[in-house]
Amino acid sequence: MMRGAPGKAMLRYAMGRLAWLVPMLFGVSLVIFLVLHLIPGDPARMAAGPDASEEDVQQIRANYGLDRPLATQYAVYMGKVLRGDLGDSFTTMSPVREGIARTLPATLELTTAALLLAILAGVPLGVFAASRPGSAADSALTALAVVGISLPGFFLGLLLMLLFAANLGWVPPTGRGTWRQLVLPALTLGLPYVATFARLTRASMLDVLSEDYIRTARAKGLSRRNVVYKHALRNAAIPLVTTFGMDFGRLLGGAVIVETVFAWPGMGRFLVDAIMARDFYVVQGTILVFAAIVVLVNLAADLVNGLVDPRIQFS
Amino acid sequence: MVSSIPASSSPEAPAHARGGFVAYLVRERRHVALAALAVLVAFAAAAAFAPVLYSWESATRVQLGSALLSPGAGHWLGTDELGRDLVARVAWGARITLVVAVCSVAVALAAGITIGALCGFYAGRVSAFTMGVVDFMLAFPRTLFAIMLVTVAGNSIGSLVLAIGLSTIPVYARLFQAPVLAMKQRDFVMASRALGASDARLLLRHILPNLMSLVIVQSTISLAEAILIGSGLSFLGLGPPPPTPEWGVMIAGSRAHIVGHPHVILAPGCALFLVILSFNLVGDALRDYADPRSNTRRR
Repeated sequence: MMRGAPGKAMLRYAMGRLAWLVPMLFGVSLVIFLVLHLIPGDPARMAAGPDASEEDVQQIRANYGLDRPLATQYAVYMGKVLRGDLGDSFTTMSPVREGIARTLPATLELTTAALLLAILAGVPLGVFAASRPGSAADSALTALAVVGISLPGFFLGLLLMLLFAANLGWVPPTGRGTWRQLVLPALTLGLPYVATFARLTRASMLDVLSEDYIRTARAKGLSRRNVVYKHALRNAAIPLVTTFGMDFGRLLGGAVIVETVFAWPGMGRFLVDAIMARDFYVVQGTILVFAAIVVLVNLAADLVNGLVDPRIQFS
Repeated sequence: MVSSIPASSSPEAPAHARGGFVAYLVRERRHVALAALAVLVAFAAAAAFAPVLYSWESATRVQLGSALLSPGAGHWLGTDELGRDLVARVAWGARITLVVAVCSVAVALAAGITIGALCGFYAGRVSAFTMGVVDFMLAFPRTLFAIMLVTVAGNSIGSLVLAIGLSTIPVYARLFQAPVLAMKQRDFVMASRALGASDARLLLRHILPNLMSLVIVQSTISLAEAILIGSGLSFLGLGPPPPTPEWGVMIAGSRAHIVGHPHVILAPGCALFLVILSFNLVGDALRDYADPRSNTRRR
């Protein structure tokens, strides 16, 4: 137990992890840079389009500094990235940073809504199932979890759109602006995780409920409800928070597809459009930002775990 | 995952497993898993016989005269917006989907086991660094990783295989490193080493054969994931171009007609869902078969 000064130790740990982010993000940026430079036909040719003359391509190459050695290009690019400049789009000529600033909030809104849905529905379902192992509700949950991981997001999205937007007319099918437009994309992205999170919660709760301290708590006369929600759930939450952090990355990947289905103007859609248009700097910039978000969310999950579990030593 | 390594190092199957997987499913009354296996056999047959039953012509040629017909006598699943028979397209789609899934999992398996086994067997600084990279790649969304790779490799079935395969390598590397490391310390491996067996012989003849059940279970689950990711990439337009009868491509192409004619996306969509679901169900059953202690159904 380190009840003494948890705040200070945790702060030091958080700073250490944050400092480690710097080399990590450099490594990630290097990998993304190198992989994307493997694209056959260099960015200049993509920017110039299929009908461009050789001189045009040369001109663009010179303008963007693409005729310089790869190491120099990376150094120049990272120098710009550190100053918040991700380059300019080939198609719109506007800074990539602006495009990301425009689309990132929509993606975060969608993924956060989906994650909240999955947690708020999944965790109570899991606690319920764990308190009645072997019941019909429990086996239904198992079946639903398999269905959840087997349904492609775009198919589920189109089915929900057909039912709730086209047939029932409860919500608009596409777009972003009102909360009603968020419902279908968030359901599509979040529903498959409800059962997954419920299964995880259930497994974690069952592990904790068989512990000695739970029996002790019951033996000293605490109510069942008190034991389940106060003693067990808090301990069961520890592995869950780590999973939520990791699943956030998967949600971001899923968001790319869901955004396409519902014409949701997010960063995933921005990325896919850029790939289609061979808009090199947009592709590189958006993937870099996605990677940074994944790293940050995993760090946040570690820190939340520290808050939930005072036993975790931050050293 | 360590729990699914058989405790016994003896090569023969455990007593409960005699009679094979199907006999096990029948004996344990696992009807859902049996049905899933039947679905997979049916789709594999459709994939194998698609070229015999339906010409590539009939699956891809535009026939506007018969566009958007509802399911009926002439066309069991109806036709799409360009008048192509959906049974023919779903059957050809099964062929593409299963080939892409099997090839990409084979790529991932070969590279992933090699990396995982070497890092487990030769624990050291290089291994630690490699596994660090693997862990980071596991945290990075696989769909995004595959999107990046497919951007590099271009729009084709081959690049789809490459993108899914490469993005799955870390899964296998992570899965095999720990069991190989643990098995290296086991008595029967130490004994072989004492008898003068080379590292290669220890790995290939003594350690990896004992991890076969892990390979089979994970491969089945990976096939489901490969189909999920592959169809998603195709839906986004990053897979093979139309008129390829790939299920994701079909759904993307027909989605504008979903309201009046839902069958155009239900046919490829249900095929997709059924195959992925069946691989997952069979994978769970295989896990229980390989290791009765981890019963996914009864726990």
